Amino acid sequence: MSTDTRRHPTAAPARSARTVTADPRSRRGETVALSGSHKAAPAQRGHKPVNRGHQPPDRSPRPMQKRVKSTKRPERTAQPAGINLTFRAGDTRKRLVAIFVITVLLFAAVVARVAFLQTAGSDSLVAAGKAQRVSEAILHAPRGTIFARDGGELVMSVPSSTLIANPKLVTDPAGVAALLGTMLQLTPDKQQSLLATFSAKDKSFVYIARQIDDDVANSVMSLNISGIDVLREDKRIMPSGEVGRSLLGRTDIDGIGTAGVELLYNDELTGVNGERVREHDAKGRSIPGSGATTTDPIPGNDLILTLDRSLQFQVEQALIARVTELSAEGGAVVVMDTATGEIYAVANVSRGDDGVVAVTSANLAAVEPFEAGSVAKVFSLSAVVDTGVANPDTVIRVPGRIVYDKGTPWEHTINDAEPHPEKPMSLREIIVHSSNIGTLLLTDKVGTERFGSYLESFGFGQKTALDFPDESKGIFKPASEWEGTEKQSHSYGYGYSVTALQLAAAVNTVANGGVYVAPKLVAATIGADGEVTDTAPSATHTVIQPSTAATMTDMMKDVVCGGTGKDAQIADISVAGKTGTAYKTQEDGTYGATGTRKYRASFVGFFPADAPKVTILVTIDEPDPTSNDRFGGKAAAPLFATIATAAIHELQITPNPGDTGCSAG
Amino acid sequence: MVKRTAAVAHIAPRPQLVVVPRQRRTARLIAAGCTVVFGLMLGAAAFQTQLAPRQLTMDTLDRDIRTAHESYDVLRRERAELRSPGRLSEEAVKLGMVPATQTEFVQLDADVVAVVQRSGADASGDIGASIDEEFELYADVKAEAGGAP
Repeated sequence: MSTDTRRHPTAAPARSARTVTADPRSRRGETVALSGSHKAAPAQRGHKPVNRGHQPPDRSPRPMQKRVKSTKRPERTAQPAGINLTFRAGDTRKRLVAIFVITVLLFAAVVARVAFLQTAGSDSLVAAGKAQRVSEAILHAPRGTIFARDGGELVMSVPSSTLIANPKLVTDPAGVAALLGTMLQLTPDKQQSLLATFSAKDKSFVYIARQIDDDVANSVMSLNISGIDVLREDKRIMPSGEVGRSLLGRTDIDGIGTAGVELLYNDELTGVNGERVREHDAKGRSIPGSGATTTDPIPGNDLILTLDRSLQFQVEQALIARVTELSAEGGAVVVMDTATGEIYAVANVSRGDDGVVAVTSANLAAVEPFEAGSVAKVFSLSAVVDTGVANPDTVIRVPGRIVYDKGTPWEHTINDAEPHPEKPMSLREIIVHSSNIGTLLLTDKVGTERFGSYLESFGFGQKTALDFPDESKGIFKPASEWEGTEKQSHSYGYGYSVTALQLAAAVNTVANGGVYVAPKLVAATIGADGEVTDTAPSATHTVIQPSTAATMTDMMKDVVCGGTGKDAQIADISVAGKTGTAYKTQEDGTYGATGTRKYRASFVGFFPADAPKVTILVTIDEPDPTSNDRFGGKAAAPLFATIATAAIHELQITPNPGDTGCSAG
Repeated sequence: MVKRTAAVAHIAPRPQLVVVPRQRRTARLIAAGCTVVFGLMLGAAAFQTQLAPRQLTMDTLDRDIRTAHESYDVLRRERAELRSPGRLSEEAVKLGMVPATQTEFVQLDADVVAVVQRSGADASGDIGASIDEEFELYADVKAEAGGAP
């Protein structure tokens, strides 16, 4: 009894759960004897093979017929009997091996490819996959709002729609361009440009119309035009209209400040953009569990300006009306708090090419210097009083005209506005009647250098603390560089130029008891965390003694009550002020001659004079030179009274006890 | 005898084939593994079914917040436009009002002031929220919403 261990050529590979002791050679298809003697049994051809593998014979991969055929192969029949035969797998084995090898190779190739894609070649695939399912959206930080001191929004950002296009997806460029041109009321040039862009199809993103009304955008989107889409963008608007436009400035379409407060505080107003990264499906829905990474945007700080919106509006309207009435070219007004330097209103208007007077885009009060004229006598005579050269009752003899450098090429004559013979005049009379010569004679006693240092201390020759964009520091030379007529002309407001802001702040020094307080425009900021932070108080420095300021105030009250500034009076409240009428320098560098002169009429004052709360400067550029209203007392003083009345209402100013205005005494 | 004995001695012993018991441990492990994997997959599927609606809710909330934020800005703009001096001036003119050109201060009798104060009325003349309150309200909203979309 021996066990035939030969494997039939067609037998299934030995895969059995039953374990037998077997010679390793069996794995190579050789016949081995399973015996204790390890002696090989003689091979017997024709024996029925033992199915060692629990596979039924009929599950053999090949039919029996073929097996029989395969036994007739010459090499097999040639095997001598009695020798251990080596049974090979035959075709099936070869095929199996071949299939195995091929499979292994294929598998290896797949593994290699996978390895490549997972390592060196992964970047592009990762990026492509990411691009398909991951969207990175920039969360635009809202730009800060600019508030007026009364809580009204002067400038703010609101959401709007922006129409965009992917020209590559626009199927009918001509039709779409024409349709959009009609719906969006595009100019022919813009429409043509759009058509060219759509036809070229070399871009995948173009703006069609930015920051338009939602209704218009919705109308376009309702047409489902291929390649046209809409984005949300913040739009910068002035909900109060043009109020404060020249001061507030503007931004470009991307929300970056380009002028005015928008430019000056651009960093403060600009926030930090955030980002949201999320995975989404084909319909744009977030993939559950994928998570989204959101970096919240940090909104810009809000500014609370010192401007009073209602007062600003009234000042602008009143200035427009006055400039129009006077047939003037323009004008500027500055209204500021006496004690704090806070600016309540700054108005700038000019006559356009169409003859219409309107608020300017430029803040002329800060950028346009001019010769102040007689208003500057306030500073000259302050120096006179402060140095003790004279007091209000000091009387000097004042001629009607003085000729300097007589008989030389530099000969020049100085007159008083009102012709008069030489006469005694007190300091009070000199300022009340705005005598050039009286002022000149008294200031001359102060000394050029000392007088010059007073003017510098009043803030001339340097920018104000506002540091407004393109702000002028004026035209002012140190006293040591004054030449010729400059030594005289500085005393009555010629030879140096100042801005309206400088002039208002300088006169405010007198109102504020001799202490210069820098103009201030921002009262507080509101941070991203909602915290309201007050700005630092304005810098101050003493220019003249308080007693000097009181003396000047007293004399300036007389200017309004009995001098050149009568039209600036307000009922029941005392006003201190000074008029000024300056010749404007013409294109040939001269002041022109009689009949060709151009004027700048000004009035600057403060009230209530006994305890000033508000300082106002009014300056009118080129009033009708043929009219009697070309003088500061006629052109500017009435506007001062109008604005002062508005300020009294808006700022709820009441007269001090005992103050009855000019009716007193 | 000897020969026979010898012959007997030469008979090879029959190999002791032993049926090795089937290893069911592996099968059990595989079965257990499959069960665990199936359970995990089922759990993951159940978890996904819970995540999906929540993600949808989150998306909806995000959209609502964005819409509310935009509405807030639009309403602020409308309020600012309604309160703008230009509009108020136009409306006042329509009602026949003109800008005040003069101011007249009236000395109130102390008794009148006392009567008003005793009535509990606000004699300050302020109506609505004060400016500070308005800024505080705005700051509160900003602190809460910030730049959130």
